[in-house]
Amino acid sequence: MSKTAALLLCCALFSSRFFFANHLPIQDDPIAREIVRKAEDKMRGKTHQADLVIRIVRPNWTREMKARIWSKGKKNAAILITSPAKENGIVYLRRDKEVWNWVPSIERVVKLPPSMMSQSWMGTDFTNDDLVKEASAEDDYTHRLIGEDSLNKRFCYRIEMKPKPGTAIVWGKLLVWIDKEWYLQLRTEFYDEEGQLVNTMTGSGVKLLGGRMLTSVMEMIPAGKPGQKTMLNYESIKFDQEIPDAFFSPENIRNIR
Amino acid sequence: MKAMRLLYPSLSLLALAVACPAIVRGQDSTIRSGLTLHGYVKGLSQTTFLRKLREADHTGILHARVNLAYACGEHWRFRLETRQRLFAGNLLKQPGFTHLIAMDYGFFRLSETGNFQGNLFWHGIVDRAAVSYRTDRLELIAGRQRINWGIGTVWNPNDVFNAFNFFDFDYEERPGCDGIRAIYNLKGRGSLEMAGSAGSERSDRKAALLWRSQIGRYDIQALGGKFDSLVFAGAGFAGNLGQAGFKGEYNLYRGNASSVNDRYTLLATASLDYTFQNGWYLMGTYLYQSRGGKDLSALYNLSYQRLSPVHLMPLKHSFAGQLAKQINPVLNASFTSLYSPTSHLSIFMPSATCWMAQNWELTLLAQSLFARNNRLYQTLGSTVFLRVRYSF
Repeated sequence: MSKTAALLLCCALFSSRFFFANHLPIQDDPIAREIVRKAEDKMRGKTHQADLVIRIVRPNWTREMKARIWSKGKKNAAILITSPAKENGIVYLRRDKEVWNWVPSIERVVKLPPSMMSQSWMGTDFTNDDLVKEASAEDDYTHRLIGEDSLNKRFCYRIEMKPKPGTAIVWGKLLVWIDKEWYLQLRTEFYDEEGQLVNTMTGSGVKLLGGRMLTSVMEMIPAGKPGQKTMLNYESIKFDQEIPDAFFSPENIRNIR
Repeated sequence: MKAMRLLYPSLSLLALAVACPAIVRGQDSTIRSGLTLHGYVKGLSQTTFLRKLREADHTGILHARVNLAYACGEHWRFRLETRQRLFAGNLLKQPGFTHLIAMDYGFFRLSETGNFQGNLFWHGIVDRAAVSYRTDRLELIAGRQRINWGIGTVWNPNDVFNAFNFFDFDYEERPGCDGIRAIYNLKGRGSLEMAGSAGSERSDRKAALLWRSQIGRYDIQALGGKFDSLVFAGAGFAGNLGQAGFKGEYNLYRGNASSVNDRYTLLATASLDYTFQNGWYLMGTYLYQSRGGKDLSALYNLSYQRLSPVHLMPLKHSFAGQLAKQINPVLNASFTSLYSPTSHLSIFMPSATCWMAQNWELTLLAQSLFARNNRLYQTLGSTVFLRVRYSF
């Protein structure tokens, strides 16, 4: 075979593989998808309102904040900082794909540019996007049940989730451990597009919150940064309370408290 | 008039009577149902020098703020906020400085001063004293309040009621204005606002209407009104250009006020800001002021001046840029620079803020001014500020 023919064959094989990889229907395991849906519904509800303590842990110090969160469906969310004193009253509001920030000291609404969404949220290991994200674990990923595990003496499904093409998700894939009994998300590993582990999120402290068995403590642990993590400790949650759509409007942002 | 004189001491005493026992007891911000207390105490050291540090002037300012809010049921809310400052040092010897600080531009005189043999100067002011009534769609606010209509981060031509002085970094709340304000939330997105205010001078009389809405991904606003004998119209927007934030505001004034000789005065600003993946924040903005001149003396005591919305900068063209980064969760650093081609004025403002412990914060900031005078580029002076803040 001449070099040219070999090159053409390689190109054809490569391009056909590339072509099919992008055009074959994406395999989405309905069982895995249903497990993820149940886990997501459990944490989100139609609406939810939660009080939580946020702890930023670093090797030499710890900083604590308190916040109240409201959400309605997948498009509306608001976060009010209630402590420390200097940050008290700061609000982050997401409606659809836009985010606004209320700065009470100067009594002004600031619209956040998209480039700011991937930045750390108030110095934590969460990004602005994590806190107000629209990405749905059920709708925006394909799912594959890849095994079963035991985690903290609880039996779990192990599911691989890959973002669907066209979604604005920065991860290459997620590995999720979901408790078989209560559908609790006990562990999530976030991998970048090169397959490198970036963050690990764990759920623990299973207890009755808002009438549901939930993990009350979540920890976001960045890879390769020993002694560094951010903890979210849920103190109370209310599900499915009536929250009008107007609550999540920039016009109402200064009245959120 | 006697009753007017009693306003400041009465409101201050009320604030202190509620705040002091709660602070002493180390109570949470919620004193009791509906009543919240916040505030801070700041110690600011200010060193000003022209060329040689050994010839510097030193001033110390102790600054306390008490913010009280009381929510009475679903509809009513009361706010009372006071600011107390105690000055000591060389700044007191500058001619006119204490007079500048003591100015009360409100319709009601809600401030007092005390001069202790020229060595200590005290200034107290109630800068918020307002009552609001809110229903689902309508909110009415009456009293001393901040009416903030600005969008940008450095200059705000649309902010006609409480013009924001970017240099006065130690007073981010800004003085309130005595007025009434009605906000009506429209169906879907948007609102209509009507506001009027009055002050100690004729030029403080303002009345304006603001409409806010959204077009696509852009928040937009249009406003118009009367400011002394001037009429004005303006607009503003906040949106995105790609991944960057894009904001702008303009105001056009028409009329013959004593302070405005030209028939029309235009102030227009636009800004772009972008945050890089590695966390660096970059912002650039430009202000055009049609009545801007070349007189640099207007920069005297820029940090303590009350700005008029018609004179946000003394110069015609002004550019500003900011580079900032959160180095880690407890350390923020930024470098802000202003430049005006008029006289090649340059102002540099590096700053770093460090979180020391829960509710304790340390800020180091400098302001350096340079300009070209007789073809020579020379310093107009520098000030270094060191500030400790305790928030409660």
